[in-house]
Amino acid sequence: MFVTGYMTAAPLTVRPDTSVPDARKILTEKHFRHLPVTDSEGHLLGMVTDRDIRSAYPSSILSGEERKKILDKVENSTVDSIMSTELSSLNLNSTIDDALILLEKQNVGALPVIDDSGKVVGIFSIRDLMKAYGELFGLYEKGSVLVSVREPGDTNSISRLVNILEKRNTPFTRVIRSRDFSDSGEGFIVHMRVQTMQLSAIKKALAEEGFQVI
Amino acid sequence: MSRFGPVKIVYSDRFLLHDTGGGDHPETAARLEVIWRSLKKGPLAGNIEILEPRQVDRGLLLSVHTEDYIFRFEEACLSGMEMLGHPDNRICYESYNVALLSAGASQTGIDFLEKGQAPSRVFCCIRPPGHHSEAALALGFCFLNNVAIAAKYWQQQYGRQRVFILDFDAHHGNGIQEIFDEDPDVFYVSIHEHPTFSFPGTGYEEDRGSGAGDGYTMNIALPPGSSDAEVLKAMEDKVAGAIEEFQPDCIIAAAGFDAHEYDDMSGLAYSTRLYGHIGRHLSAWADIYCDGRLVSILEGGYSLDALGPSVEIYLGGLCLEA
Repeated sequence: MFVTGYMTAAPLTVRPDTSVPDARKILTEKHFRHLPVTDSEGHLLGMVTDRDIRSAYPSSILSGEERKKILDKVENSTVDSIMSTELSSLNLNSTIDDALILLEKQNVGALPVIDDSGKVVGIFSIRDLMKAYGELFGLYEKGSVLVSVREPGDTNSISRLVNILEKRNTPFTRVIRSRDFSDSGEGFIVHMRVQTMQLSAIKKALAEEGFQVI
Repeated sequence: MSRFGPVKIVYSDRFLLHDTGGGDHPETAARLEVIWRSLKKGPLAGNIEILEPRQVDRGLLLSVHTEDYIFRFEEACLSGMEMLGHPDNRICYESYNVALLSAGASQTGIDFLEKGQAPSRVFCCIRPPGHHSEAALALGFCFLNNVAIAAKYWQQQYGRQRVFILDFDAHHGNGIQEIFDEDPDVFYVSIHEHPTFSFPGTGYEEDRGSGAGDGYTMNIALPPGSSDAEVLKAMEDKVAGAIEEFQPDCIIAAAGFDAHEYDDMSGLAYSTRLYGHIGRHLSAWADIYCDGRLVSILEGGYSLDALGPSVEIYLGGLCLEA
């Protein structure tokens, strides 16, 4: 559940004096969108994204002369002139929950991961986040299906649910209790990812125990 | 005079020996017994001839499954284990040999069709089923991928390269899809309940094959509650065009009957009659595109009330003489 298990470790970085065309080339060729900028020891100084680079280049609707003027300027610029320096970052103790909150709050596509000394050790993207949650919830395990039930309102429903699955020797991954967000909804829904072809037997057992299968 | 043509059923009583341990396990020997009960008393009885299956050839088996996996399966059965990898996949001492026979049944059927004898429809009435099993994975009551093995046999033994597979079991045949994912010679079409709501959670319509096989997988994922109209529309709008464009050398039906409204293994609600329509479509396609080369192989179907009549009406559709 730590970002270190899912990030791209030891990512490619550039120095502040890297030219903008060189940075663009790296992003295009490697199919990256985010490039950390570091000093010679690897400490994080900034981030440059494909969007920063696209905005630096002249618009295609400009006239030839204007375009050339801006192009010359961009080609003689270095990444420190376009990188963002107000940075949020993750550290070695950050969890994937921390990453989700920060990615959403900052509205960015990826975050650098730094160690205690501020050196870049990884980069964690929204793609990595999706993969991490997918694995956490057992999405990629073949033969698994999501089963959701309404809680009947007692206090020990999770233990009863788990007991039903364990008694039937049915493997499962996710058990999540969340508010019922549907229009008519009050109370809680429990989502389980169960691994069995015998779903009807599971649903029957759940219904017999008073759970309403959704 | 009968309106139905001949049907060859590849079957052995040895298929009954695969014991899934009782309890509420739905994949039981009683499935084949109810099929025979329907067939023997019905209008097809006089048209049916039984062909004795043989065990799958070792080399053919290894063209689909890994040797490690085969050894593991054999070892599990012979050492008295009760399951292979998951409690769904119950086994007994006999299961390995029965599975070899189940996987070999299509060889008998294909040989019959290829020997140029009188035209006939062929149905492999077998268990355990196969379409969930992958190269090295048992899943969803399946151990050896009977349909994939049949496709390889047709290719290797008779040079029928272009194989069209229609899987109308309620569940997606992840194993068949996985085995032929990159293969442009095998077109896999599956009509099943949407993976969000159904085992095994695969078979999204976006999955269309990869690499050279891109475009040679077609998943038709139906929402729970779907019935005859949705299936017939998909057959006419999507499957008919796909098969016409593909121009197969032979057709294999992964014939599962668990989408029946009485079968609680899926949320689909097909009528018994729908299976007759599916049979008629397949029969017509087999005659139009590949000189009648069509083999049907039993997959799922767990309602002991619905399975017999569903198979019977399907076979009726297959062998109905226009």
